[in-house]
This record gives sequence, structure tokens and C-alpha cells, in this order.
Amino acid sequence: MRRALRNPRISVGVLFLFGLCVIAIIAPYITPYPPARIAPREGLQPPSAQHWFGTDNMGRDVFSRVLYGTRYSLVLGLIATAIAALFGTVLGLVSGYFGGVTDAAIMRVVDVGLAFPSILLALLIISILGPGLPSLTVAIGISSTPPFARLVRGSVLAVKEMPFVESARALGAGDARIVFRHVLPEVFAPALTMATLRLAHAIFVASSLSFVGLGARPPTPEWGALISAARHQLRAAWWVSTFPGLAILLSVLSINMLGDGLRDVLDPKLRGKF
Amino acid sequence: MLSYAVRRILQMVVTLFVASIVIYGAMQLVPGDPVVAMFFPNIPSPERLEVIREELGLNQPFVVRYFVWLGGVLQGDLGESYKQNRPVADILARAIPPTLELAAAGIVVSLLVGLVAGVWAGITRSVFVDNGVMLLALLGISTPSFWLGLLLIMAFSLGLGWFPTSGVGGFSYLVLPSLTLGLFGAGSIARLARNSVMEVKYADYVTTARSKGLSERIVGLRHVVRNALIPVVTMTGMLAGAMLGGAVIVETVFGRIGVGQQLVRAITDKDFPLVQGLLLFSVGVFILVNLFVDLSYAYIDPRIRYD
Repeated sequence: MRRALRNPRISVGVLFLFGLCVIAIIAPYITPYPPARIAPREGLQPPSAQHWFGTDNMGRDVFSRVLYGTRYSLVLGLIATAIAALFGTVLGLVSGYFGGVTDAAIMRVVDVGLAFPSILLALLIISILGPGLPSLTVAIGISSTPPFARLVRGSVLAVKEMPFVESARALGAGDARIVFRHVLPEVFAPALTMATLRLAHAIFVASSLSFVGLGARPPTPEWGALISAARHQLRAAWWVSTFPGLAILLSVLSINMLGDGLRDVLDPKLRGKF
Repeated sequence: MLSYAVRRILQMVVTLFVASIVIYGAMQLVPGDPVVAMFFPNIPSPERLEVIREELGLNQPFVVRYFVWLGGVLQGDLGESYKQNRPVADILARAIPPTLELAAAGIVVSLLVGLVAGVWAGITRSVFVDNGVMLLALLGISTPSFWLGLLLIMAFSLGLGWFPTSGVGGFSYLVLPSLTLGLFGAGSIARLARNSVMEVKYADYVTTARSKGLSERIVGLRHVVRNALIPVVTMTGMLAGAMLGGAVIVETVFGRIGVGQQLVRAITDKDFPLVQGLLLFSVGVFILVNLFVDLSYAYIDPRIRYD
């Protein structure tokens, strides 16, 4: 743990992620204006002491809206990643540990998932569920599951043949005990790394799909939706679209950095693999 | 090698077949009546709806409808768009050229920028250059492309007036979209190329080449880079996926009516035949590219034996 935090990428990443969580929780107390407050006479003001990030065409405070946006991106990203991690780990464990027909069946399904570029798989699911934030979350979660399952299965296959698993079995341990006490802890490191990188990816894709109108819709202050609403004021007001974009970039960048750092510390062999 | 190729091609056909079932099946899971959606908001009488359903073959069981659809697809008939009142094949045929142009230019940008930067970072002895390039690469994969596109429009179209803001046309229309799409891919390519060079740099055969008295230049180009680029070939498959997915976003930013933008529109319109056709096309291209990548990989790297 101490060794991990000494890695600068991990410490910066953890600090930033923690900061995002804090902002998401205390957003109502630190925003200078309510995010939906409309002030038509203060429309399209450039950044100033009163409005740090300026105002949009309806006079809403961009800084307040960007802070609130943290909630949407973070919650969506965490739920989507949790879905992928849960289903991916269960599928990968079952597939890798039991092998045989179960393995073959699960892996064929996973292969079909991997045959879709991940945004297109998310779009397929959105076309079933209809556009909107909840379906976007589910879509990103499901589309992140196949690579997760593939990774966990690989780790399980490697662990299964280890001497300590053999000896546990020789001592009479049952499947459940072996999986939970011996296999799962070994799978944890690569899964954690992947979950971190997937969180960054989820935030990235969610804002992109909200931008094209398939996720959060204006006036929701989600980052992608903010930028989408600001598209037609590029000439008049650069600040309305620029600041939410910076928020996405900083979040995705720092979480990616955390993921890179975790991968190097926990499992150097995985470098450049995903 | 030949038996490997045959097996991979068969596998591809199966994957494509299953993917088509998934795509077609998914559209059947959509709640709501597609025929009602088709005419919304001027919904005809229930009797009229029943006639239309019969005409469209929507009363048949799923398996029958699937195979009728598949039969049509194999003959180039992808059905009729609900909203645009044109054959899906027509819409697709018109959407492919702008997307193909964009994806090809995007791949060129990705490879050019990514390989140069990645190889440079891998081969240099300067920690500063290595760290700098890797930070830029991380920035590349973390920048949302729709936002980068808007920044480029603000700077180069609205500010300097060098390029048009949107549309499809000559070279000038392609510059900003392909940069937007390409810089994302360049980041991943640079990271992979750099790690790959680092792995090869200290291999025994590189030391041997150096001790034979070959110049650093020759060793670098012939022994390090050539071998380091083998894993990069596999990235081309991933890159094709990134281009197909990225086109959805970039085409919307730059108002290019290609496969990606049509797909977004079709999903918003609940135009399911069109969604099916566009997805099937994209996934088909992706699977095909990956097949070529696998085959060329086996060909390029003779150390790999698939049995």
C-alpha cells in the first residue's frame, strides 16, 4: 500500500478521484449559484469574478453547472463499472474454474460481445432501451463486461494450476472455499486495474454519447450535455463549451493515470496489454 | 498456415452469423409497436395497422422473419427505412464514402503521429523526451474527441478561417475531422509502440548486432524497430474499431452524414431497419479487419505457429 502510494501517478490519481467524490457530494454547498438559476439579463458573460467560468445563453452560471456535472459522470461511471466488474468477474470465474462445456458456452457469448467495437455494443443496447441516462449506464456497463470476463478467466486459468490451489484441494477444501479463499484474491489485482481503466472509459463514452443526444439531455448539467447545448454559441462564447470539456479531460486523464500506475505496481506483465 | 487461415475464416463466418442474430434479435426486444412508431404522430386505425403488419411480414414467428431478413441481406436488400422512406441499402451506400474517407484519413494520422512519437520515446535515452511523449499520449487518449473537435473548429475555422466548420467535400473538409479522430488513436499507438520498442531494445540479437560493429542507425532501424512493430500490427484491428466508434461522435461534430451520424439519427428516430443495417455493416467491417490482422500477423512473424 505504501509502495503503491509512492508511485506519483497513483498518488495524484487517487487524490484527484477523491477530490471528484468530495465535489460530487458537497456540490450544493460550494456552488455559488443554483445550477438551474436562469438570469436572462446576464446571458453569455465571459469569465469574471462573479462567474468564474462565465454564463451560458440563459445566464446560468457555468462553474456551478460544471461542479454539478461531476455527480452525473461519477455516479454513472461507478455504476457502469460495478456492473461490468460484477458480471465480468462472475462469468470469468465460472468459466475459468469449471472449464469444459460451461467455459465454451460462456466464452462464445463473450466472443460475440468482443466482435462489436465497444461503443457500437453500447449503441445496440441503447437502441433497445431507448436513449436516456439510466439506459446509457446499463449500456456502458454491459458493453464493458466481455473484456472483463476475458481477463478474469485468463487469471483464473493461471492460478488454478498453482501448487497452493492443489494443496488446498488435497487438504479437502471444497470448490467454494478454493474460489473465495485462494482464486479470487489472486484475480483481484488485474481486475482492480481493469476496473480503474474502465471507469475512465465509462466517463469518456458517457459524455460522448450524451453529446450526440443519446444520454443525458439538456438542461441536465451533465458535462457532455452542457457541451452539446453550447455547440451553437462557439463563436459568441468559447467558455460555455470549453470548461465542461476540461472537466471531462481532467477526470479521465487522472483516472487513466491511476490505472496505469496500478498496472505497473500490481502487475508489470500487463504493460501495454490493455 | 493454410489450415489456420481456413479455420479463422470459418470462425469469422460463425461470429458474423451470431452477431447478425444478436443485432436482429435486439430490435425485437424493443418495447412498443414499430408500426405505430413508423407513423407517429399520425397513427392509422387498428384495422389499417393490421394490414400493414401483414404486408411487412411482422406477424410471422421470429425465426421465419430472421431468415427472410438474412436472405434479403445476402442479396443486398436491407429493408426499408421507416423514417426516411428509402431502402436502407441506399442510405448505407451514400453514408459509406464519407465514413470511409474519414476513417482512412484518421488511421493515417494515428499511425503517422503514433508511430513516430512512440518509436522516438522508446529509442531515446532522454528521460525527458520519453516522459513528455508518454504524457502527450495519455492526454491523447483522455481527450474527448467531440470536445477536441469543437476546440479545433473554434481555433481553425472560426478564428483563422482556414477550414470549413462542417460538411463533406474536398481535402479542406477532411483536415479537422481526421485530426480529431486520428489523435485519439495516435495516443494508443504511441503507448504500444514505445513499450514494444523498450522490450526489444535489450534483446540478445540487438546486442549481437551492435557488437558486430553495425552503426546505431542500422541497429535501430533494422533490428529494433522492425521487430518492435510486429505487435503494433495487432493494434490495427483495435484502431479500426476506434475509427468506427469514433465516427459516431466526430461525424456529429462536423456535420458529415456518414454511417456514424446516420446511426445516431436512426436510434433517436427508432428507425430499426436502419439501425440493423448500419450496425451489421460496422460490425462486419470490424470482424473482417480483425481477420486480416490475424492472418497478416501469422504471415509477418514466422515465430508464431498456429496449430
